[in-house]
Amino acid sequence: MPCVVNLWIMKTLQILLVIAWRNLWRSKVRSLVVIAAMAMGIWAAIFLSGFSIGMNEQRTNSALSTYLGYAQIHGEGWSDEPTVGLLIPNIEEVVQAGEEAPGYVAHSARLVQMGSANSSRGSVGVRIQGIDPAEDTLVYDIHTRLVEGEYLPEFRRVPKVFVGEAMAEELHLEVGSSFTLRYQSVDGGFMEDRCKVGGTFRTVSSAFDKMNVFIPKEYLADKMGISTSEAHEIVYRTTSKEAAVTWAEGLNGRLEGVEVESWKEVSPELGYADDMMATSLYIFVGIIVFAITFGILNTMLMAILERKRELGMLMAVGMNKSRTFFMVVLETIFLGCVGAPLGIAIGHITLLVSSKSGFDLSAVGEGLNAYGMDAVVYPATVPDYYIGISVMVVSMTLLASLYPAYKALKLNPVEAIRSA
Amino acid sequence: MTTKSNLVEVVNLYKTYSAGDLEVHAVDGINLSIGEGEFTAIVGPSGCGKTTLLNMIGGLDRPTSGEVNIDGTPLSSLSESKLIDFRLKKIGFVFQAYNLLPVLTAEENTSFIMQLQGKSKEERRARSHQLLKNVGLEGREKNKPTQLSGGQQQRVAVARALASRPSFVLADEPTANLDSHSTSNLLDIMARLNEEENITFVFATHDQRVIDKAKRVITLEDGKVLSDERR
Repeated sequence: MPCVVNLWIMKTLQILLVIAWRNLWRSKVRSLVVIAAMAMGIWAAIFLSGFSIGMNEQRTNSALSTYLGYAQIHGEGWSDEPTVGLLIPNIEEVVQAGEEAPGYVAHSARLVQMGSANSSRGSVGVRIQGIDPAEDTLVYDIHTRLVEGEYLPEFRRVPKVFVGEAMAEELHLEVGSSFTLRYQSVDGGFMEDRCKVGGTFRTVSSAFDKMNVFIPKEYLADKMGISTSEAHEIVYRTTSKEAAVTWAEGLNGRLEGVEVESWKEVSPELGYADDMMATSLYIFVGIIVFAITFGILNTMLMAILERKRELGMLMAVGMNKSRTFFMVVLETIFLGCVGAPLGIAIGHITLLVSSKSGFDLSAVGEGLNAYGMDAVVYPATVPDYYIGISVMVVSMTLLASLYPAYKALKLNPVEAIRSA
Repeated sequence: MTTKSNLVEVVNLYKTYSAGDLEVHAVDGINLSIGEGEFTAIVGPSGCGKTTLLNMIGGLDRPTSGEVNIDGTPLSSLSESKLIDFRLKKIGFVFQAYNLLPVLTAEENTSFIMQLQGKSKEERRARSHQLLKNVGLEGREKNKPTQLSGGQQQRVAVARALASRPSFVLADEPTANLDSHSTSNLLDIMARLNEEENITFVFATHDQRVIDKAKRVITLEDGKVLSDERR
């Protein structure tokens, strides 16, 4: 049977291809309008995909380099109840294991305290992070977000801390202003520390800026009465986002008394956002392609109506039904085969250009910052989507061809030949 | 005149259309046979049933009752798909409005029937060139229908009808859209093909110039054969 089909196709395919292709260009304007509509739809779908993926990538990268890190290690139980006393046990051994695991780039051991920042103008809840600046800059880029002042400068008695611009505004603080940090000590008591604003930062997340204070780890450890080598968390940078997952999997279970988590486990919503984005984009593209198929369907129905006499003649002289059906299907698929690559090419070029220049959305920058996104969005090229989009377009055009082809089959040759 | 074997046999053929309560007998009990090499015109006033008869002889329409045998094959015994294949192999058609494919050249219009038959490229090319030469269109092979006159288009249609080496050619009002010069030219070509290559032509027409050229004239009236005159 397959041999019979192959033979039939080979004998007829050439002439059917010629007729179908030339028929496509008989009504140039009409075909071009449909092709343009298809190309524009696909362009829009690709551009939107690239824009959304680029925005999501930026959001993820920003989260990783500002506050999340690629992977984290805490004392066991931290994720259930992060208490002041829950320090990482055998920290030298843990640090060493982390450094030896494949994918390691750098780490920063931190002390973390929940507390409050208070000035004469108000009070806000804050996360106080004791960091070693030399170590931390290898993992995070918070030091590059400096707005005013200095990043954790030297001090004598009163520590100079690094605070978010939003928090400084909330408490009416300026560089050099004094304020008080309140937090819990290891023994359960409360500490109160007078600090000065050494510098302010602004990240893409206004929420982060409002509730994070960075303080030298050495000072905080001394205040808490613990060794500077102790830490509540060790944050890691790995060679890539993907490497972080395998790095964490490699260490998990090997170290006792600690929790090892990649960024995807620490902040699963970021990982889900990637997956959700992919799914929703396919749905969106599907809707666009589905709408386009109605344009194709309409065009092909008109074409069949206009060519009734020719189709009648073809059937009269001996073109069988399967060949007639195949010819109409081919013609429809040609529409898709011209429109889809054109749309993909224009979409790809747009993404290539805009991925370098970026889109400045400063007008809605505050809203974006609230969601942890930058005001300048750099779309990403999405070659992985092209195959999926092409398959979708070809499938939909194939579907769109079935009804016109069926209508062609139902023509009565005698009546069709007589038609005007 | 040589004895001609029967190529087409029409036996007690009826075609009845219903229009509400009214029954119209387009073909009303026709019996006739057409031999190989005949040049026959089926004539009569409009609505006498000549096109309906021609369509049933060509297997384009099914009779209400009766039988059409082509080369000994009863058309009623053929399924729809086999009938299409039968038409491809056995019958050539020339239509009133030429009905060429506008996207194909004269050569392609002639050769595509052979392509449907699975003929080789060389054979198709050689035969379509020969046929176009026979109908006086040598040098116009690459012209599309819009670049040809009505008469030239109808000659391409004749070449196309002959491309599959059919048993006979059915021509429904082939000269209706042509001027007198083109009509005369076309008829001369078909008459020559009939004389020289013994190709059988059956016309449905009311064009007197075709009737004058025909060797046999079958006159219909109200779906019945009124006269059958051989010349």
